[in-house]
Amino acid sequence: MRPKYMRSPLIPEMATQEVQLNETLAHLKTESETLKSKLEEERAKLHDVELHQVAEKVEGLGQFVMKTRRTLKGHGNKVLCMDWCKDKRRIVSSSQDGKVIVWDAFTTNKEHAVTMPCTWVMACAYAPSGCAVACGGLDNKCSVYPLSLDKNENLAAKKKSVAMHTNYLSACSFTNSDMQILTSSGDGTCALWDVESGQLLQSFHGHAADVLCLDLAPSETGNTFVSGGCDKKANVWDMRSGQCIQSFETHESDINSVRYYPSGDAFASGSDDATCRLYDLRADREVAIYSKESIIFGVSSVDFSLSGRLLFGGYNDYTINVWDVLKGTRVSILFGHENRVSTLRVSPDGTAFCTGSWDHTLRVRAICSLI
Amino acid sequence: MSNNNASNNLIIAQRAVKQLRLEASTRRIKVSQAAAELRNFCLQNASKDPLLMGVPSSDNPFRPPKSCSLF
Repeated sequence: MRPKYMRSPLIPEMATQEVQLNETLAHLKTESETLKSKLEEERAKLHDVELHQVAEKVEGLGQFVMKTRRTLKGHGNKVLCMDWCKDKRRIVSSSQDGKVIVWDAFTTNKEHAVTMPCTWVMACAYAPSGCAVACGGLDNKCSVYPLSLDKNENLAAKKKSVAMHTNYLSACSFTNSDMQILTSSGDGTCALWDVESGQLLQSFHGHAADVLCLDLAPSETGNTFVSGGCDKKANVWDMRSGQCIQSFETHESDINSVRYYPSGDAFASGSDDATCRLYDLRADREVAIYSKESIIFGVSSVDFSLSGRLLFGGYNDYTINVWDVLKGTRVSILFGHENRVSTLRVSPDGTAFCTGSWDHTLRVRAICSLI
Repeated sequence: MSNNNASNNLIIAQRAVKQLRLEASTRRIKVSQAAAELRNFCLQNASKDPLLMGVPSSDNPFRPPKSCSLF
């Protein structure tokens, strides 16, 4: 006689219930498949032209020469993340060595340095006021450090723990003010937090795996943000309701970076599948792929120039590829880093862009001349 | 125990269907229209894009730092 726990349910009702649940499940799965096909059909109906066709008559871009204008040295290990201050000259960066540094990019001076209690500080962000920075990583938290004018003051003393996730913090961003922070995590969720109280204001569930990146829509476009994850999906969320309002799944691997187009009507993504893609929110579909057969390494981060015409991508093969967003062609390839480019941001006034790398440095580049 | 798994799967499946229904109801415009608007935005803002147009060295905060020559 088999042990009691190994016998099938003796109670007939339980057996019937199980069968009923399985039938409903099968029914739901069918409906799921039908809805997915219908979604694809609807999207395809409106796919009447390619972006580059619409841009055929647009004048091509000349050759670009962008030179490294500043090299920021000081981190003891891989640079994982960076962000610009709204003043267009200060930069915050975070590293595997557990340090978060605030730089004056004009002079290359280090203005502040904080040692985090964990290594792999994967995320950092500057507050809109310029008076604080947020960071986190393997500690599963996002902490805010007010920046003191007194260089001798120990910043760690004023540290405020804001977000708590159940896995690593992958990205963080202040919203329009210093009062709220949006985070994404290896625990598969994004969350909105009140900085002062540390209270969770809204959580965003829908990704099936680690969320690696997020970007807030430009303020004029309203309260939405986009996130990308290891489930190859890019999701657009309503910040107030917590609802996922649009979802895109065309990448073939993890999405490491997402960034809104300056008008807010589209966003770009960079992935381990070595491509960058552009998704238009009103057409509700992918409208361009930026790729080349010769590019086989993953994209770690992407950002647009001010007009949205150029898309900069930092790659794991140590290079930066610059794409003509409208025509879909590559206009420039930039060298200089001696290891993976892990993070890339264009400055707030669009005059320069900064990259951080596993080679421990950050480089600020600006245009040199147009040939 | 198997009933719990089945009800969990059920909840997940119900959520997925609900989400898909929401996404199916999104209003969409034609790519031709969306693409034209992306293109127009680029063109309208091109002249203000420093990384696209370049800026005179005197205006560029990241111009090369002035170097001293030693004779």
